Amino acid sequence: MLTSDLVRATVYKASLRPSFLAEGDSAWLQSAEELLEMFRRAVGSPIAFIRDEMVEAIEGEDLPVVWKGLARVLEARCHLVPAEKQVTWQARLDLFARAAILRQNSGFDAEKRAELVSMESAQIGANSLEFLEALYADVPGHETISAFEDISAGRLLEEYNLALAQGVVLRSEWLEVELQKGSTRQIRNLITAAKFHQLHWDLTADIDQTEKNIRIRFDGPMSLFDSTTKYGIRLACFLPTALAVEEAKISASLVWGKRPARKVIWEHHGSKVSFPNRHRLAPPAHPEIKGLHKLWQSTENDWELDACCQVLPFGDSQFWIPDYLLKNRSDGRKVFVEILADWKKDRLTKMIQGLSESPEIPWLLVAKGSSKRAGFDHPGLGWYRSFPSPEKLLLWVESRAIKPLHG
Amino acid sequence: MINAPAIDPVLVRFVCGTLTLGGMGPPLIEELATRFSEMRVDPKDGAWRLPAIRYRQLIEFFVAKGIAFLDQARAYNRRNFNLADDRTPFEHQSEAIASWWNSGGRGLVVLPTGTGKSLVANLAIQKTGRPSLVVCPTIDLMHQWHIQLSKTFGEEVGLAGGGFLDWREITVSTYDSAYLHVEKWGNRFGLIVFDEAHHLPGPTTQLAARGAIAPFRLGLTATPEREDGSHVVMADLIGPLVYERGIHELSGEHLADYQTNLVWVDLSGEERQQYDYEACLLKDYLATKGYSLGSSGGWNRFIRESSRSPEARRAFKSFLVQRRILQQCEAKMQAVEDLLERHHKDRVLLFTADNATVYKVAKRFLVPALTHHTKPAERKEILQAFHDGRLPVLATSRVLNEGVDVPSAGVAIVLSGSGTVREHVQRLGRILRKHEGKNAVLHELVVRGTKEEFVSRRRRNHDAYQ
Repeated sequence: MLTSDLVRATVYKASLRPSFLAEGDSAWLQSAEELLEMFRRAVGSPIAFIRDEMVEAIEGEDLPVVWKGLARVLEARCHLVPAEKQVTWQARLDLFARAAILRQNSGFDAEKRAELVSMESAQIGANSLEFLEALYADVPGHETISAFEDISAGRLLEEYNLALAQGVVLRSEWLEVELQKGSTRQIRNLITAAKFHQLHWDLTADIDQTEKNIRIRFDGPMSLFDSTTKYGIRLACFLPTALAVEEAKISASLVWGKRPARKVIWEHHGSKVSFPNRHRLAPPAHPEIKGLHKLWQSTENDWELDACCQVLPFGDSQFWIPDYLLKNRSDGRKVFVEILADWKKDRLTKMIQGLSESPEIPWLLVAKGSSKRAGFDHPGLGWYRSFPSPEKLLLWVESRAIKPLHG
Repeated sequence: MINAPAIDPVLVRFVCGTLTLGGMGPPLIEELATRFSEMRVDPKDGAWRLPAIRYRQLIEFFVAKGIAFLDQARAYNRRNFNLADDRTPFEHQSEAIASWWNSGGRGLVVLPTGTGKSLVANLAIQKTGRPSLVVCPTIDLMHQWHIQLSKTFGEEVGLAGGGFLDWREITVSTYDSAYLHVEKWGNRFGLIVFDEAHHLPGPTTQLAARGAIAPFRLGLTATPEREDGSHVVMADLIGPLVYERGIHELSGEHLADYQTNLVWVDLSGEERQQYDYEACLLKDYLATKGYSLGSSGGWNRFIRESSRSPEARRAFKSFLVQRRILQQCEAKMQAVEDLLERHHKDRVLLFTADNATVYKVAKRFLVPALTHHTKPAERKEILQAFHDGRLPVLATSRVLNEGVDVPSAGVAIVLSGSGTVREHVQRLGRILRKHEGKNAVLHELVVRGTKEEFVSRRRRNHDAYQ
């Protein structure tokens, strides 16, 4: 993700539009290709070579910000190894101390300098030129690029756009994903990834229109409720999953500019900007959620386990998206199950209270930890330590499942 | 207006850098919402929340209105801090602390480097009598404060930053660690001292100030203004400007006497030819496009164009080549050599604009380089050796611009730098600390007949250089 100094955006009144690089723009593609060429050429050279190549001054503040951003994305694709010959910091300070004594006695000139350097060079088996190269070879920038994971220019623009979007959400108070024609699988992916990254969210849904209109608002790192860097990075890591949903409308409220409370909206919907295609990638998920399906299939029982994609209204305008639906093949009893690898007491108790007030939903929550440590318990709550075992789950399911009134 | 006080006290708690308010009736909620525009209800648990920085105003409001409240937010108590430091404060230090206290123990004190800002902080800690956190921008400064505070108050002082996380009743932290851990310490200190307070308005660093309840706040800086104009938020984060003295007012008695010296140098024939050629290319490009770099939005337009068009990129390269010539030209190197010879008995700081030039200078003159890449052990040794004279010359770009105490430094040679007044004043400040009858001198190297003349005029636009 791009750091704040590399984020480019256009601000007009209360709206902000990140300056994404449009797909197929020949000028950007040419710039990307030029940079890629530099990185390809640089394999076997110190990383500083790139910086010299990039108009000789990537560390200067004035290099075009887009180039710096593109280079940042490419630097992450470089494998670096330390320089072969290095002078230790103690050795170089010794050298400088000897030079200082000469200078204080007015005996430091070009000849003395050459003598000093030559003596030191011999100690590391190098000539004077190599020695001077090695003098600060331990400083970042002197590592050698041993390999570069090449990509196409188009892909570089996509990676840049993603890194830019991630840089933007680091300044968000909230991030909202709206699915107007979203499939239940997409909703499931979003929620699974959000749970994995331990995000806080609120979901609103228009159930009357068969779950077509879903809006999920995630707390951002600049929110009054979650103002931490770690949280921002988690939200940024979640972003690719949201961007992979083509129909999603994404907006955010950002803290931007000089005034700390300024609200700016960023909308990404229907634009020509493209991001890395991650459709085929499964969203990140807790191993408990990923692995339970497989484990369940290896266990003999009369229950069918399906990844559940329903959005269930419960309590006072709340919504629940369980992980699984377990259905008994013989008698049709069923129960919705959610695995909670991370949870907060306030939220969990509120959820239990809401679900308890919705008798039409057969529910079971399986949480990591123990009732003793949590300080509370409930018949609809099962506890596990490292991984929920199918045997235990079966017992809880039997006690919680009910036969639906209407099929 | 509230007609009757609430029967149950309002419960004020500190949660993750915010205050939660419980047990309030609708009239009180309405009044608080009017008074505190940032008050919001947390949809996750239904609690009303305020940023922790509003703690003092909130409590003052409850007290003024006679509203009963139960304060579970504050996790510290009053206590006495004994100053082991028997120095008598100078007049400007006493005035600064009196002015700050009269402004309710909130506000910004602006004093030049080397005029005893740390004693002002010590006095504030003693005066306030509350557990105190000192926040500073770098690890070096953090350790410097740690030594000073431990000695002054004769007790264990905590550290948060550089791998340490040890919260005590007096603690020193970096800005980075302070905002990263504000959830942990935000209710444990009654006073926060923001050293080099101009760093605070950064978008993330200011979270440290917003997430803490500390009712007493002191900002210390020599250069309050920021180029981006965001220094205006300091009034909210710390308090108003309560005291200010300039370098001229304090030099001689409290600061070393000093002189500034412009050293004019000329490009070699080859360098001049290349400089003029590149200048011409740049000028032609800008003339074709019909704007100048100094015009409103001109620089941004140039940068934007150079991202996309090869012609603009060539013009941009011209700009960078000119800059490199100015920063590293042979005449400047020769001038440095002469100055080092002239000051061979002095402690000299060599300032450059960028790290590449620092390392070039270090290799050429065999002097240590101090940059943000320098590892802590080496940095510590370099500073110690500079102090005791084993390494009397140091090359650096920006890390020594502020804060780090190098009292023995008496000579500064500015090879290159930005055009900002702040940087130039800070660099001068490095050599002004009183030290054994020191007469400080700052040499600024300027290439004749180039844009450096303009840059030099701009950065010297401060009374310290008049």
